[in-house]
Amino acid sequence: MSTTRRALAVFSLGLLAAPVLRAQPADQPEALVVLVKPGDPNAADETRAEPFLRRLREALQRRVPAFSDRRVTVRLTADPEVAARLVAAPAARLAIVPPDWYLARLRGDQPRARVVATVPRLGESVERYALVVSRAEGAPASLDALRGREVVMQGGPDDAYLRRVVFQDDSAGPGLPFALRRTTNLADEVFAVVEPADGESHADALLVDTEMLRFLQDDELTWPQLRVVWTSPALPRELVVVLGPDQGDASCEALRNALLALGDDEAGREALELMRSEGFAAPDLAALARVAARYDERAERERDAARRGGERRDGGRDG
Amino acid sequence: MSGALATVRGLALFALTLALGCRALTRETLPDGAPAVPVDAEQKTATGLAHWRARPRTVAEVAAAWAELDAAARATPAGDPHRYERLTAAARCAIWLARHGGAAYDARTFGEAALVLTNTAVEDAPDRAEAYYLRAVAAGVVAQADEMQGMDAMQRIRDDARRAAELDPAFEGGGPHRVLGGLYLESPAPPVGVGSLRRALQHLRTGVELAPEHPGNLVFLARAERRNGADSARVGALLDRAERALATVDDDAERAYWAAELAAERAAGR
Repeated sequence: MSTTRRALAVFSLGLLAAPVLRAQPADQPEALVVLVKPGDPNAADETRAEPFLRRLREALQRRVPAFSDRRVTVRLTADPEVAARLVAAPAARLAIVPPDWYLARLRGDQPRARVVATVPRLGESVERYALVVSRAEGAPASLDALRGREVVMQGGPDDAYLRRVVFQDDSAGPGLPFALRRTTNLADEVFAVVEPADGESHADALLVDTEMLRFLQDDELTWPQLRVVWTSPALPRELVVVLGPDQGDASCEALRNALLALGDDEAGREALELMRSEGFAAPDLAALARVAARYDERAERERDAARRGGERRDGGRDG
Repeated sequence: MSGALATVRGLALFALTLALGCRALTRETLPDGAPAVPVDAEQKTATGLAHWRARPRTVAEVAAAWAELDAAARATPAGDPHRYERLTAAARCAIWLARHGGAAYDARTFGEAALVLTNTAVEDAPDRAEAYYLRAVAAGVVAQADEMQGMDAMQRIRDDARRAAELDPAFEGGGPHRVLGGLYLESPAPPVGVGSLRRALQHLRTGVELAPEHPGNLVFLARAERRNGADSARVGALLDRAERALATVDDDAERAYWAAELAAERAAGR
């Protein structure tokens, strides 16, 4: 398909979507649903995700009682600042966010922001990060061996969450134990690792989440050349957070039940399939609380360390 | 059946949508039994091929070819030395109709028909490239019509085109490398898709080495080079070669398709 025809096709998708929106009375208040995937190149273009967003919007409109008299809009963004604006909008009623984003930006907004569900994917209700390296001779064989080396990641949690929660390493000091580089396409990095060109530098390891690991394992050509050298503890997956004026426990419970039953709706089932999820699930709030405590404890230690460092520098200048 | 420019139009799906479902493509094969009504498979093959080879190649001619060749393939029992050629010939017709037949030839229906034929051919002769190559193209056609099958299609395209490239890299003007290059070029980044500009360049450069005057190889390589930051003179030279190569394409629909791709690429480079 030519670029022109491709653009027309995208345009026609927009036209197809438009009547759905127009069919809803314009004077209805909006219920804004925000999907946040910071740094994920695949979340950077809402137009290309339209088939998924359309299905999710239709299912939420039909199945969530609190949305029945509202005009549902679903937005997807990879930009943390855009996400922050959308989530803070008066119309925002629901967000699907990664745990790091929740801890850093939403957790303090209580009782407004309540976690009501999580999003299992590929049959996994928890997230585990993994470090993947080449099987070639001389490649790093452990997390220790990666200290000071370069690790590359596509999207994923922010550095603070990686430091404080994913790499629960008390001896590692305030930073990550390796140099983390972010990329917009991990496949290019994988190929550089398994088939390095002459004189070309490449990352020493790939940091991946469960979904990306599964993707790598599904490639029968490259996976035999790679291996996992480290896996994180089980951590929370993406969280579904209720936003807006506090609706009380009963309303949150009703919304959660509607989400858990979203697969009963055809568009909902297809939206879940496109998310590679079997359906929303109840969150493990105890596990989330443990992660939050860990995050806060490490944050406090980092602040202490920064203060001590500042005092030493000041003392040195004074002396 | 050589000379057909089975392409990767279906791959455009992956540029259109980042929402690729995990529903499985059909694994069905043709039943291995004699047809209820006896069919002269040899005669039908001859007639079908005559329609396919007719120029200009029109929808009516290819539809007639499809009817004859599909019947011939279905009437040919497993183990018959002619079955593979009949299956792949019928698959080509189905793919062509899915791509160029218009509204009367539902792309998903004909794409799935091509999948069943090529599934059967791959099972019959797992060491021959053609059926893998055609199955990869058919998977792209189906995925374009139904994004819910997108993920499986993407993996099928990748795996089949790789196998075809191992068996016969030069098949149809470096077709397996062209398919792989197009797939890596147009797919989204992982884990949603298999997209990789580095990999795309690798396959498309190989494709051009194998078939330096294939318009598809040249247009796709020009696109990949442009996205990789190549200067406009290099990209323009590739497109000029592609334009000259178009004259060698004797299938009007295919030539129009590549001409449109070429024009789009020239516009993108301005």
